[in-house]
Amino acid sequence: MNILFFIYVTLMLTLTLCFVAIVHIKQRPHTESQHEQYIRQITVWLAEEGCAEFEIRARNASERMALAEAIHTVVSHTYGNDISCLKQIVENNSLDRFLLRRTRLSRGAQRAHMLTLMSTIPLHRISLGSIMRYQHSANADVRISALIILLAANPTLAIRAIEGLGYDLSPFDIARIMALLRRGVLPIAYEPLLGSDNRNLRILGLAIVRAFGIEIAERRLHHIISTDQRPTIAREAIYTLASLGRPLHHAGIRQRVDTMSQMDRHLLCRHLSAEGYSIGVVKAIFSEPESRYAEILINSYKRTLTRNTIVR
Amino acid sequence: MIFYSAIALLLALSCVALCRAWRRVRAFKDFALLEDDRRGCCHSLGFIGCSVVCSDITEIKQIEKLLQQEYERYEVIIVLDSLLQSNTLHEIITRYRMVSVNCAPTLELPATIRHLYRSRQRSYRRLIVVDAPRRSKWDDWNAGVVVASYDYILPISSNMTLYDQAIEHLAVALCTASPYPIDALHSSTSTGIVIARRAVVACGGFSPNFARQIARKAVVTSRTPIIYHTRHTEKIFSSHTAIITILVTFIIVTSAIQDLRIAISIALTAVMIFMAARWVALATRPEKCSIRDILYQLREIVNIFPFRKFQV
Repeated sequence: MNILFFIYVTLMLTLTLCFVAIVHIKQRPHTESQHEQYIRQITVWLAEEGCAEFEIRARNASERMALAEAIHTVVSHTYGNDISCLKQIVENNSLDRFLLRRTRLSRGAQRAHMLTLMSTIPLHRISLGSIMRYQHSANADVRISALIILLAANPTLAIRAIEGLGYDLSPFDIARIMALLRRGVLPIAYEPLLGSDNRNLRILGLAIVRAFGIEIAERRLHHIISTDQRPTIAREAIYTLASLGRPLHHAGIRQRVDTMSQMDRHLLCRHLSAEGYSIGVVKAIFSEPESRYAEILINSYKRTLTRNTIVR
Repeated sequence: MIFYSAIALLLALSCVALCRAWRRVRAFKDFALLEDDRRGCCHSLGFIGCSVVCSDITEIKQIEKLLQQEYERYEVIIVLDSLLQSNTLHEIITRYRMVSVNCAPTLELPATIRHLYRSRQRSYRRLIVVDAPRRSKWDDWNAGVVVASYDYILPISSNMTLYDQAIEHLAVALCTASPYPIDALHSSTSTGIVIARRAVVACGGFSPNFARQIARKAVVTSRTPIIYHTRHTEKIFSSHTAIITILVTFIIVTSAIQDLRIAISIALTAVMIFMAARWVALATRPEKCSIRDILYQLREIVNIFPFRKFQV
């Protein structure tokens, strides 16, 4: 019994001391972090034409991690960086192999974060084959981060890579790919995407039209609404038209809305009301009870001119 | 025999507390890692919008904190009773330049709304104030649901606020949840539940029995941290602290009479669990960790009955 007691007491004391140590480390006052220093150095490097004369060296694992995150921060927040300077930093510090090793050893969100860091650094020696296996991960964040690396490394094969995916891209996956597009890393036009029959490519094309406000794609959107048999794609196309503020009184849209479930119709009705469409447009598409509900919502965005607005 | 039972019980309690603490810290660390990757990607993901419906909010500071969320399709609906909280209502209307807008009753839910206010200033377009008779927080939330523009409702009350980027993380969780769309999303690492508006209407509105009316299969559990309690009322806080202190002291004294080793084991276990709660509190709110936060986390990690159905 005494042995059991001593074991238990030792265990509790050890755990308590561990927690005290962790809390103490977290509460230590921080000096300027290595991460911020590296950001400053990289910014100076990139500003100097032909790279600065000083070297950026990381001596241990924590400095390498800080350097990788600094490169990620700089690349994510700037545009048109000199890739040769960044390649030199990555090569001098073997950052690509370091991050790949860290990716193998970590799990879940840690792994996704490592892959995200790798998507912004110019990959030097590692082959993309070692990244491809993460595309089949059960973790959605890991999957999309791996896809982002492959798209950034081979922009010309992006359409083929997305087409060959064995799963449907979620709206968040599409948003991550759009972020890549906005950085100018992925030169994709919307027409081949909208013209493709592949679900993921079409959804991406619709996202591009929406994000960049491409009004000239209106005709293609109407074609998708009329002809695409998949309800989610047609629904997405209607929402895209609504986000562009385009007219919705076409027969094709009315027919498509008639085939939607009651839940989807109600959601669309509320969405159009919130997007600022007038009651006339809603009445042209929806039935009388649905329009009545939308009318109440639309009117709630309007000021009561006859009411005393001053609260006494 | 008593000694073995006591040690076994203490060991079980410690294991449960440590597992919970580890899970909470891990969840917050994972979201901290993914925060930067998600920032800037989460504009209207899948057209998902969230309306936060607030009951019994009296401080402008709390409203300011709620308005700091950066997600595009998001609104804050404050429900007040002008007869009981006329000063608060006047302060909000003046501060945010609110004007009365049209509000016609809908038949969706049994809610009485006297006035509806929206802001004239574009920067506060997300804020809506509802003047409704105050009966209970359930009726307040129902009044908020009636005027909500978006499809997901997050009900909160006076002592709650949102974690940073909570709505963005929620939107990501909602659009990646399977099956999509879902009826409700429950957080396993914090309080808070997001419910689809159609599910609220289908159940006849919020009520004390609301949680029982939603099918268990339609609820998705996520690690997304949503809400934390800013402060408990002084009365509740003092009573909880007093109860915990008296209980622990009583147990230690009683067991010291029986067997001093049991008393020492209990005291050490209590200290260890307290340090674990402090570690969790520091991980969840590193910028400001008070004794209240520690006690709140302590309550969460030693809750003996975690498998109850989610509550609103």
